[in-house]
Amino acid sequence: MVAKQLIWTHYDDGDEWVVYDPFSADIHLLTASARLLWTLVSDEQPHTIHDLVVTLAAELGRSPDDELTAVTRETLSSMDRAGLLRPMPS
Amino acid sequence: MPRLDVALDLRLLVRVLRNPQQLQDLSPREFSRAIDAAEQSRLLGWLLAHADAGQVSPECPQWLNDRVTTARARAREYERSIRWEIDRLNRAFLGVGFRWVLLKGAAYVAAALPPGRGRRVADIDVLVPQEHLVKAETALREHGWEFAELDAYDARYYREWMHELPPMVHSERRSVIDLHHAILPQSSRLHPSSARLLERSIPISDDVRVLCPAHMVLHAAAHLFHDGEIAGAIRDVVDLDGLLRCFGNDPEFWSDFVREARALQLTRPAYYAVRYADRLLATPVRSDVVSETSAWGPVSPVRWLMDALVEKTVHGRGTPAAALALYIRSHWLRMPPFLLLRHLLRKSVRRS
Amino acid sequence: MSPATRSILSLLGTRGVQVAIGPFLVHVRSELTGVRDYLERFYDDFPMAEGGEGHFDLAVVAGRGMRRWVRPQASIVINGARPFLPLPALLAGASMEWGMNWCVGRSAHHWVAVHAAVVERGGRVLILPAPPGSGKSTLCAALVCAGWRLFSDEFALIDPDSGRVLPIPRPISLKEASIEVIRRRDPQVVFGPEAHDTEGSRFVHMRPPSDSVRRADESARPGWVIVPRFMAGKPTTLERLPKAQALMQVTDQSFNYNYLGPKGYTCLAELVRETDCYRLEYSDLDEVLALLARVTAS
Repeated sequence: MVAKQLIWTHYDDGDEWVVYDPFSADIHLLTASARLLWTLVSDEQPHTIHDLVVTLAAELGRSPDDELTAVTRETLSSMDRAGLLRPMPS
Repeated sequence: MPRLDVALDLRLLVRVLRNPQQLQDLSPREFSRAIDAAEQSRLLGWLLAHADAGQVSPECPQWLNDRVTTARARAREYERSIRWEIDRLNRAFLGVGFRWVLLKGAAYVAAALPPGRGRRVADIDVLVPQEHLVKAETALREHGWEFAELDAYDARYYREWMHELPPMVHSERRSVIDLHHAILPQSSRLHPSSARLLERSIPISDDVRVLCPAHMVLHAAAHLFHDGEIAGAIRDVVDLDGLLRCFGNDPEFWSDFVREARALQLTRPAYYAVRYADRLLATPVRSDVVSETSAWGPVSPVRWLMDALVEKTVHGRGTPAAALALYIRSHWLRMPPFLLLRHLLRKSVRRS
Repeated sequence: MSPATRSILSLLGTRGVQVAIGPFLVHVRSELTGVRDYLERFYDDFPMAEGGEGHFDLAVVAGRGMRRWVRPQASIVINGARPFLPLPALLAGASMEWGMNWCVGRSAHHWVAVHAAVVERGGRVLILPAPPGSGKSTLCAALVCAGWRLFSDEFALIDPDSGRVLPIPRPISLKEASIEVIRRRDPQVVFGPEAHDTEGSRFVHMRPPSDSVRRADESARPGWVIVPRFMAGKPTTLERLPKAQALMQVTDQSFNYNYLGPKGYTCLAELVRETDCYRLEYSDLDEVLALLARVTAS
């Protein structure tokens, strides 16, 4: 589940994203891939890690290997800790 | 040359606390003094909430406008900050499987009660069942909180004589959580049932819970008149007033209040709460409650002494000795007498 | 100094003095002669009135009890609070600047404040965001001696509604070797007496140019955000800074954007959008001044 109040900033001179969360008052710098991952999970549907890795791999032109899986897990965990993603109600 | 007077205008603050409508009549200078006094007494949120009820005059000088903008921004940020911490606490406790209840300031904010408006909260106090204390500590540690570094003396003081574990501090955000399994120290003579507090707690959102209104008021009263530091006294009295006004319109509240005071053995704090809320802030309390609780008071000499000390301390007119006397009394209620002198002496040595 | 100013300053120990510093009215009080001397030396061309109110109430008071006379101390009181430990009374005047820094950084949430050196030329503002102690004050002083208008050596103040930058010209604080470096560059520069701060470092205050003080009510649009880094012995290099990273640097140096909520963040995001952003490494002041003149000429 996504935190709805986020403010995203993008500039034409690069492909990074800056996001401000008014709830935490934190500011984060995301790579294009991290932003992509965030967009994938923000449709309020449940996702499996496997599905996400497969989609990411296709979009990034990479193989859906263990390394990508580990990075995906780590990034999701960071976003969770930062409050950029919220756990879905069970 | 005589000393510059840079003292806060606490007298002005108490005057507007008793008569909030006077806020509209203050000069710009007085209003800014009131803001400063409120900020230092941790009552900025209260002041702004009551000032907004009136109009801001169009002749207001720009510097005062800017001061008020800054004050409002501060109050909003205080609330945001604590709401975020509560959110992170909720995240840490997701799936722990036991009830946890917010106490004091964090609870007022979470439940959107009047004392929670723009409130500056230092530590988040949480009540958890004693048998799940370790699980709670573990969950917090997994989410970045760790025990503050204490010297051996303080660590022992916390564990052996207080009802608190040492505070847990978040490694990045530096926010502080105090886990409690009881609302009064193990060493005190009174033992209000934690099970009863947890059982009657009220859900707010997600897994966040607060005490029921009667318990919330009794806890606030026990905190002000049974333990705690004097520096927070003004705000604690204002909190009590805010809670009583908010809950007092519900007739069921008062019967709950009287019943729970007996059930939790908190009749003495209940007596003081009713007595001083009325005398200091003219809080409306139902007359039958006043007469019922009056039976719970101490014998006269103690009562008159307590009256004088509380009035002096809260109005800031008292000597440091008076403030200390009330502080000693609070500690006396918490600790066996032979320990008292040792702890206070050590605390005073550390401060200098 | 005019007789009017002198007479106003005589009220320092009683009603106090209202000094206009940039967009702020600062109500100053002190019974200590050090503060009066300091204001006479550095603030005589600032608008001053007798008065008991303003954005901040800044008082510098003598130490309590024995410490009024023996190894005398002074304390800074801001709006009734004492955010600092007492310091030697000798530093009472300088402490006014530290008090002001505290006020602007923590008590002025109607502007977005960023720790930065800020100068202006040709109607456009150059912002050099950097943490305290990074050498930005020396660079700032050098730029000012070379003809840039001084906005501030400590804070970029940005109006979140218009995006304009506001000047708060004040004495620039210089430490240790920087003192000689700047004095060599501009023999006309006016310094106060040298002293040692609470960490034992030599420091002086440099008087802000009268022209900068006179034009303290002239805001301007931001032109460049350049993140400076002094690197002894290294050649001077300037490279484009991707704006997302520039925004992270700028917000890193702002301790009050959160008080303004989304408006504060958006103000900084737009600041970066509007400006040319660079990263700068330098060791030679002449080189860096020439480089900055070139980059900002367009």
